Amino acid sequence: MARSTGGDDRRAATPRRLAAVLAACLAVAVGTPLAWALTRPPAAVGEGLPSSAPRPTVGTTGTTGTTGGATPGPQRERGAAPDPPGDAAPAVPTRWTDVARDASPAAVAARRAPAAAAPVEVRIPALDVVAPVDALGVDEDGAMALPDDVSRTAWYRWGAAPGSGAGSAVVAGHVAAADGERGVLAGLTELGLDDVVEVVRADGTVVPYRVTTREAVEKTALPVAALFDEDGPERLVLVTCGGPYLRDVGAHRDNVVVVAELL
Amino acid sequence: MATTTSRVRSRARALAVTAAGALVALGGLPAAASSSGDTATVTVFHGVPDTPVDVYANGERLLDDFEPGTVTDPQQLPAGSYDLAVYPADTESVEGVDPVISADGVEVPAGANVTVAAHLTESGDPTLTPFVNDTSAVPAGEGRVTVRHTAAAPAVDVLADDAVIIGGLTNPDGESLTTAAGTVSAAVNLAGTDTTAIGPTDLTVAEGASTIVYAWGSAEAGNLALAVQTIDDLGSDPSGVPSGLGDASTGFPAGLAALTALAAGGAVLVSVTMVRRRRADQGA
Repeated sequence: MARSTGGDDRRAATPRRLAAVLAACLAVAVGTPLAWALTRPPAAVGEGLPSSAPRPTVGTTGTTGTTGGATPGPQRERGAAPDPPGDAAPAVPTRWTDVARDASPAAVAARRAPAAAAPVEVRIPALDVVAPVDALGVDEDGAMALPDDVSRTAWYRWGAAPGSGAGSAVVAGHVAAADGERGVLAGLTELGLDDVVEVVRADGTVVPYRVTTREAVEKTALPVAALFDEDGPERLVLVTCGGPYLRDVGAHRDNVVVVAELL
Repeated sequence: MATTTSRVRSRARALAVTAAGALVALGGLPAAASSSGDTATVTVFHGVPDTPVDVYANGERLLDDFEPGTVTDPQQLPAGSYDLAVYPADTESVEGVDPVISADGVEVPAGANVTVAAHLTESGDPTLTPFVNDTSAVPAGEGRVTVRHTAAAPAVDVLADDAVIIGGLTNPDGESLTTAAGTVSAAVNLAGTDTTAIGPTDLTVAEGASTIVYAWGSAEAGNLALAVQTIDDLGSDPSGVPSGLGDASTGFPAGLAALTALAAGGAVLVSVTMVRRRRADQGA
């Protein structure tokens, strides 16, 4: 019917107009994904993740003698400071003063009680995020435990606490639930340098940080020793998942890691 | 305490030293003792009830007024052989005075982590026992618990939250296990009985650390108790952060994809129309 009605219709759709519509359609078809790609936040900002400060290994310095799990090997054993019998008795360097402590279980527990109050809430104003924090340890696989509820986050309770004066406090949350519900830290990929992150502690005090680094790193290469460092500079480390979802593994390829220093 | 992942008997490592001063060698050092130059890490535990003491090493006074039930901080000592002697506190001169306990030729090997315990034998005589401490790493979220029987008491069972975790421990033996960190209710029973000798008392199993528990005192005197020494920095890091339950890969949003598809479809439609027009015009 359109074709036979002649005159007006044909004029309304001259070749020039059709060409204009075609150009517009093409512009939208190409421009939409292009503009989206160009407006993505950069994959990483800042100075980069802290390099792994490896725990002291056996056979190097070892005055701490702490991680002596691994055997140094027979050669090292042989070379290690032989202790020839018949040596002159070593001099006792100093008298030990003020080194004895009450060893009752209650006294020891009191001395070891954490100095810093546990974190209970994390706030990221730039992302409009206010999320509760649960104190959790490790899961059955030895990985950091996370709450099932994607609107909550976990603080690694065996690591440093925010405001404790040293070490990296790690707070992590799921990026999405199994049904696809968006996790509370899913927006970490959009966090920029100097954005503020605040941690509210159980005693009501607030510990403010500013972002110095955001980076996506493949999970297999996550520098856990540096991120969970208990002795280094005081930092907050936020972690969620990112990158492509690997269906065969049932997990994302990457961790998105944000490092923030004390304000 | 329910999850026992490993368990190490260390009976052979505790070598009782007689008051006569027999030569003691810390034989069979575990590989865990890391080499650390020429020093050893030495801790002293005082588990002889009611007797403050001074402790001498190679004739020099090391510890003054050392109180029962206390443990020193770990100290670095040059590796070597030590003559140890324990005198009542405030002994003015040790010349010609018989020590309460003595042990000559106690070998302290380089790199070892050793606790010297002054305690009672099962029959109630003061003695010195050097224990070698296991400083191997523990998994994230766990702690090592070592229990040492240094009391004048018969064999005991050690319970955590009402379950026996170490059975039939005798003076001066120790036994280790690793378990989930946290606080447990610890008790010591006479072996094979329901008779509680110590506790129950709250015991903190510190994460990433070794918690060494001494059962000390005397059953006869009714002063059995627990004492705790901890060795820190044995922890491990979590293996990772599995922070994605479901797919949240930040792909092209569905709305924009629909818009793109619509525009592409429109372009195709317009192109077809234009071609048809041209053909129709040519045909006319």
